[in-house]
Amino acid sequence: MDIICPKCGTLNKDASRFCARCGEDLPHDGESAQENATPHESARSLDLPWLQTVQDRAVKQTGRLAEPQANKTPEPPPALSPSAASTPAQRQPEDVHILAPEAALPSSQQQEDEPSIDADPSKPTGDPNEPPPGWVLGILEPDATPTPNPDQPYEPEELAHIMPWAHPQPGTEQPPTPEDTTSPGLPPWLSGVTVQETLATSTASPDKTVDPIDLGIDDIEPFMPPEVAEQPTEEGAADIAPAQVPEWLRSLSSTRDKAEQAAQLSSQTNLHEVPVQAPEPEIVAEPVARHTPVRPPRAGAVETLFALVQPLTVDTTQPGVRIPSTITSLDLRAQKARSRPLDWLLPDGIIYIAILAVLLSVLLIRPPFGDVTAPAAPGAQEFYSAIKDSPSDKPVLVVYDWDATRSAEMSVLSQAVMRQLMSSRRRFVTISTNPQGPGFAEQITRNARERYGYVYERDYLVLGYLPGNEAALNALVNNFNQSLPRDYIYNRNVNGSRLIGGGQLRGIDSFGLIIALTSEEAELRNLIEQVGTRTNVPIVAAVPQGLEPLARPYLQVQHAGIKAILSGLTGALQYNRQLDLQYGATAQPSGTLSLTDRLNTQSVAQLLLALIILAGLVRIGMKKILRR
Amino acid sequence: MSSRITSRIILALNLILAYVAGVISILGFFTRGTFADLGGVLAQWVAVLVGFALLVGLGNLLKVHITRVVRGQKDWFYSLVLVSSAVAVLALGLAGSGGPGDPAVAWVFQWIYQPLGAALFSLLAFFLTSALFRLPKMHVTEAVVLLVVALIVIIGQAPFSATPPANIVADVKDWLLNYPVLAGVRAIILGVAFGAIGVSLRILLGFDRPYME
Repeated sequence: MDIICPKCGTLNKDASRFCARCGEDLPHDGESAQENATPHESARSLDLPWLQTVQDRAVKQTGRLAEPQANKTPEPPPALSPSAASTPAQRQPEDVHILAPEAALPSSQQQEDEPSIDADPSKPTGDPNEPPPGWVLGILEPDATPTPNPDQPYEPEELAHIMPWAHPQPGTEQPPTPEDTTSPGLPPWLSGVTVQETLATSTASPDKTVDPIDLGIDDIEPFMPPEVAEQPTEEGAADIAPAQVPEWLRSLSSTRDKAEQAAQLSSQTNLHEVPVQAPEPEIVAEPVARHTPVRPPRAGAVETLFALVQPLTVDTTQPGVRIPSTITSLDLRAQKARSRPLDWLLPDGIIYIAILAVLLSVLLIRPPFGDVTAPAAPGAQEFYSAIKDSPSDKPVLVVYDWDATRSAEMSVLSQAVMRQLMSSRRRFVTISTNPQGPGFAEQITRNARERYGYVYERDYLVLGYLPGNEAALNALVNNFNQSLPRDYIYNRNVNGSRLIGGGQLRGIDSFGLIIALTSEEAELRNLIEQVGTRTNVPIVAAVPQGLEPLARPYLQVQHAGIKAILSGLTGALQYNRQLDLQYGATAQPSGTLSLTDRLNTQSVAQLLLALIILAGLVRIGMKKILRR
Repeated sequence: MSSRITSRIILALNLILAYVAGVISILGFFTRGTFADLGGVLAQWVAVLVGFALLVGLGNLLKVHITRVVRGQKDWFYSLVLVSSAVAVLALGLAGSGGPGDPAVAWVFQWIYQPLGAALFSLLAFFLTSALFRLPKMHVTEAVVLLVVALIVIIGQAPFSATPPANIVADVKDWLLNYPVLAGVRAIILGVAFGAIGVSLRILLGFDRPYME
């Protein structure tokens, strides 16, 4: 049997709880809907007083609510105590409608609605008939401005009593409710949300704390949209489709633009601070269907997940992911064990093994490649000539600015330089702006001095480490003697040495040549900038082969450049050959690799590297061709 | 109020000091005489400060790693190795009569530190090779250009490139290094220099105050 809506008279299905047209709560107890229809029953059933009042506003109810309220009993505030969903049969003897004076109620609405004005200050707050707070009304009617309602039936004291969170009155005895601890202007059940500003109606107490409040909605059935009527009503089928959403809720969808809504909300004193927004317009929007591709689980994913959630019962010493014994899949274990070496070998493992095998084989076996015909190194000849042509009566300044990482190339170059200096009986002084430099200077000079009969402090000096990079070189140029007053090996005052003593070395200009043994571009640049630009002493550089492109810009620059660059093992080989021609070949110490052996190994390594690069290019090329 | 005035005074003093020191250094670089001498003095002070900074760094390093050892934190064993080796070399240098040139210290440097440093750097060859092999996977066009140039340079610099027909590759390598590479490096050096000038001006004029941090 269909039910007639008590408000609009629309015929609804028997199982409907709300009117399909106006959203009015439909009676289900056999009573006449018209007799028992009250504008508050639907909201009362949900025990949401503000909703009840919202409903009243939407349907523009007229008539006083005092008549049916005579049989109603007061109810506690819905936010404070859980209350069962009241049915129309459980009419409360007193339902109080409360209007907040600052509520955003336009006067027209207030005149139309005429809620019940039975006010009982002694009634506990939270009466179901109380109007919604202003922030709710602001959502419904964002254009409305908060205007005081001169016709409001309640006194401020009554309002303070009924809605203490919105209208606290000092001195008034308020019922001990959790609302006291909430931010003013908000119902207790919204106290947990962040409120950026205090509401204008009252001052917030800093001591108020938010207590967890039972919303009392456990027994409330969720809102079920009314079913679409099978038979079209007299008004037409067009009225049914939009009537799926009650009018009182449809009004919420009027503001679809969130920016407008936020702007309108900001005009309300109680709303713009509340991050909890009104029901989203998306409620009436169609659900967005997103077709997310679902990837099928990988093989072993279920077992792995099972293993992860299971407590580990087997204490294994295997590295990586431990597979508990609860996993009965033996294939998983075997698969994991089998895949490891293959993953490791391809492709890094093969590359590493190939390089290592080639290098070791060449170094250990020493295949008879013969004498290496090194490519032309024009820098070697210029380097040799620069040292040879420097004034023989002036000492040479050798800058040891390389570290252990480059010792493979730089030690060979440094030994060759020392060989020429000592063979030509040139005095030299070593300094370093790298902390490791003095160690290498002392080591190389110690190994070579005995062969050429060099005496420390008479023929050469190792002055040690000069901290400060550019500042150190600047200080060296300004005052050489005071920059490094003590030597590195014996920590003695260098002014007493025969090399420097007697005013032989007054400054940087007293040197005939500066040889820079550097492994970093910054150190070479500092030397050129701080020393080369401020002296007339020529500079030559011996650098690793990888540094040569960075040193070339300084080559042959007038007044401040480098006269010659010697780089890498290739340059060292050419340089040594030149020295062999000049001073005769030197015997290779036993147990050490000759330069030729090193270059042979380097050649093989470079070949291997070139093959690997070619393999990479071919691989990419084949992939592209196969794709096409 | 007084704290604000004090902080402003301190800021002003720091700015003035930085400005004066910078101007003296610049003038001392380009001139001779008083400013050059003053610049040299400032540079010597910098050398002293850097030396002390090394000591402070060493102290902090020992403190961090000793704390890790004492508390038994993760990888405490490696911290113990570091601390013990640093203390051992320091003790050798202090105990010996020759200081850092002491034979014991020199032996440690030559037979322990130098081979370790060279070995660590040599690992670069392996990692670089595998990276070159994988490079075309990521950026095909740039990788191809890089690999082709690398191939030419590697073959051109190899000792066997002097023999034909590899000498053609050596000539191409020389052209690459003398023209496009040289131009690029010069441009980078110039850009770095301009950037350093800009940063220095900002510090001199007080826009950047690294000394206040």
